[in-house]
Amino acid sequence: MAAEPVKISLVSNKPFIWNAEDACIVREKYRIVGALAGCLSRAPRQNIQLGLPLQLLPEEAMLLLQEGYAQLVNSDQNAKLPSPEQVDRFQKMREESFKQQAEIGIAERKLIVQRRLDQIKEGRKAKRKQRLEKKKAKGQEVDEEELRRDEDKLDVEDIQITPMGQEHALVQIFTETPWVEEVDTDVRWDFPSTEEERVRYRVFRDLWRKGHSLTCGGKFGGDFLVYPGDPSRFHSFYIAVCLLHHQTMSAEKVVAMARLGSTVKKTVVLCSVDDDDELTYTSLQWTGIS
Amino acid sequence: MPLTDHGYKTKNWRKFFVERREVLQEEKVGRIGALCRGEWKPEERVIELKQTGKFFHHMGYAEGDHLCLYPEEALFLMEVCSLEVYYAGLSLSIQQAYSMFLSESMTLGEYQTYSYLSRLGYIVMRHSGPSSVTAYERQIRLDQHISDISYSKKRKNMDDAGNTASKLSKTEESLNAQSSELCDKIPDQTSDATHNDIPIASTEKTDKLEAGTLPKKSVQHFLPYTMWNFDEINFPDIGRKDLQTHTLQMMPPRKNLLPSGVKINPNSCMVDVHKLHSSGENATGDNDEDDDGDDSHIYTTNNLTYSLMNASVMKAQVKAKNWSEYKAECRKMVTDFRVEQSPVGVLWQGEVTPLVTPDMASCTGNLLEHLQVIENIHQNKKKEKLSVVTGSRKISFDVFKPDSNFKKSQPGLPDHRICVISSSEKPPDLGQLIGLQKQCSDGVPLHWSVVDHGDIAFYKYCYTSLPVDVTMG
Repeated sequence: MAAEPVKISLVSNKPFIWNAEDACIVREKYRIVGALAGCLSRAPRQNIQLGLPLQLLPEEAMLLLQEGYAQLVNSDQNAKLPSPEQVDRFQKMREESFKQQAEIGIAERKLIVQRRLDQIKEGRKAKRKQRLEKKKAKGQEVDEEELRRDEDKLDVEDIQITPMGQEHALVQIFTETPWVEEVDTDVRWDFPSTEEERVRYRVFRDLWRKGHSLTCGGKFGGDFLVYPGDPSRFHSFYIAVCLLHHQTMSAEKVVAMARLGSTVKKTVVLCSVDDDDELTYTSLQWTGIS
Repeated sequence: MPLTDHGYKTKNWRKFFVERREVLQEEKVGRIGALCRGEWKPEERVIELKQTGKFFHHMGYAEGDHLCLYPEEALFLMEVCSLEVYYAGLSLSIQQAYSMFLSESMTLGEYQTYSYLSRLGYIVMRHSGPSSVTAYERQIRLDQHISDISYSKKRKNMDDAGNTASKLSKTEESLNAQSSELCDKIPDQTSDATHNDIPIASTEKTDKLEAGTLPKKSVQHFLPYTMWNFDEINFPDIGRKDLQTHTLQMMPPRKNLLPSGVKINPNSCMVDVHKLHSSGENATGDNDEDDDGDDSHIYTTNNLTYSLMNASVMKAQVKAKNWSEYKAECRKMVTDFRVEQSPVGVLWQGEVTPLVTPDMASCTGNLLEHLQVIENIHQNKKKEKLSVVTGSRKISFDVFKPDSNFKKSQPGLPDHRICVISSSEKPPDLGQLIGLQKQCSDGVPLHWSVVDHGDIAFYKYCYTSLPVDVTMG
């Protein structure tokens, strides 16, 4: 199934996904988790479940790009002065939307009227009766027939419905910019630029290709957290720590990592690219002998 | 072992994804009448409001006739669907707003921190500098009656300060370049020193050296973290069972770190491992006996014996008629003391001398103080002594608890202050920390918001002072 590539755009040099469909696809199909960074439309004032945009790790974005699942979209246009055509399109869209809403509003109103027709009839009858009785009290001539007559001729179409005011119209605050016509993929993104970033990316790609899901591991003092499946269903098994192959480490740092791993019941995996340009993984385990 | 596809296809699993898709696809919709309208002013980097909203209670500011919002406030209000921002007649999308509103003065990390706290209901405002109201004025509630400084004015001044700060940051960059050069040099020195196996002394030395040459600049800022290279530091392994000889040769201490008059007896560098082990066993055995109720260890401290007779004799030679005379005499003795009189006076003859002299021995605390090579830094005391780095880090936000009586013209003391830092950055060093604390010395906790690819966590530095155990005198 050749799907449309997911659009990734850069904000402050960080990759973001703005489209809900895209955000779901990368999670469900490509096991890319990212982090939701915006307010959820339904309940914006909480931090438990966030909404779009979806912020990606640079490694996640680069992987999607390299595998051909995504394309990097130039977002410069978003920061520019809107063109008159865009404004024109926006205003037409607004008018169109208002017209539709007005029609829907009238139709809905009619439905309500239809449902309450009996009540309306009763009400009208009561009103007329009141008016006539007032007249009668003043001593004026009143037709008794008129007093008892039912309001039978009333129909939905007879009732006047005031059209919806402009201020009641609903408008959308778009998350993804809808006015961009052409997709401009001419973007430069300098990732990975350092040796550390290259190692991080290689490790990420390798673990992902092995079928794991990865998230950023800052919470546990590593580079990535490695999950056997989707992070919503599983705890992570490994803390991946990316290192340069010839990087020296003090013993205390190794102890600290091993200690952390055993405390949170995860395996610390030291990842690096060796001199033969191959990935090497070393896991740390506390033997528990005391 | 990663799970294969069939693992995903359980019922709950599908449900989760379907629900997730549903909530993500929901769009932000509001009634025109309930939405506020604003206009983006790119030159001033503010959003000018057409009318006020409920949010104006704790957001925005008035400048003349105009009501303005800061970019982060406007962006957040757009996200919670309370505000529509127009630019050249177009209602901006959130994607556009991210691209337009975020800049050097309001970074993505700062905005993410802002929205995180705002979503929780906190009132978040840009940091307004230290409050001019003293703690006492606040205590007697005088601050509630000061109204001479109008809020808008204050906020505007703040902006000006921000501008000058950005100008300053350029000169700062050049300073940083210099400092990085210095940093490059220092590791050479320290690595040299670690060869000679006393790292503490060596770092201390560079510290002093720099403090001498650059008295006003920060020392801490330039000093890299020292890591001990254990490949080059040899600890004697006295626990080895397969030891051939029973003695271990220790490295003699370096000559230039010893007082000039001291000679090293080569025998004192030999350690008899066998003896050490057996004496250790004996010692533990003795302790067991002590526990049985014998207070011999107190007895030993009262009956000190010295190899040199002078030391004990000197103490007794005070002649006085009464207590006050005795005390005066003792005081005089201490001040008149010459190290030459000491039986170990030879120690103070050369360039390298012990840290303490016998005349300091008035009490244990005094001695301990002089023995402290690296001084403890107290948060409140002696701040002026420390070299402080300012400007390299800034406090971003003042955070207030949600309060219906909150007045943005008189916000009072914030409950928290927030510094934003990226997870890939180095943590702040001591100079920066003290610098920030010094800016606002009103006891408001300073939190560090660590932004890690959209994840936000808050951390705080706590000061503790280690107790000094003085048992004798």
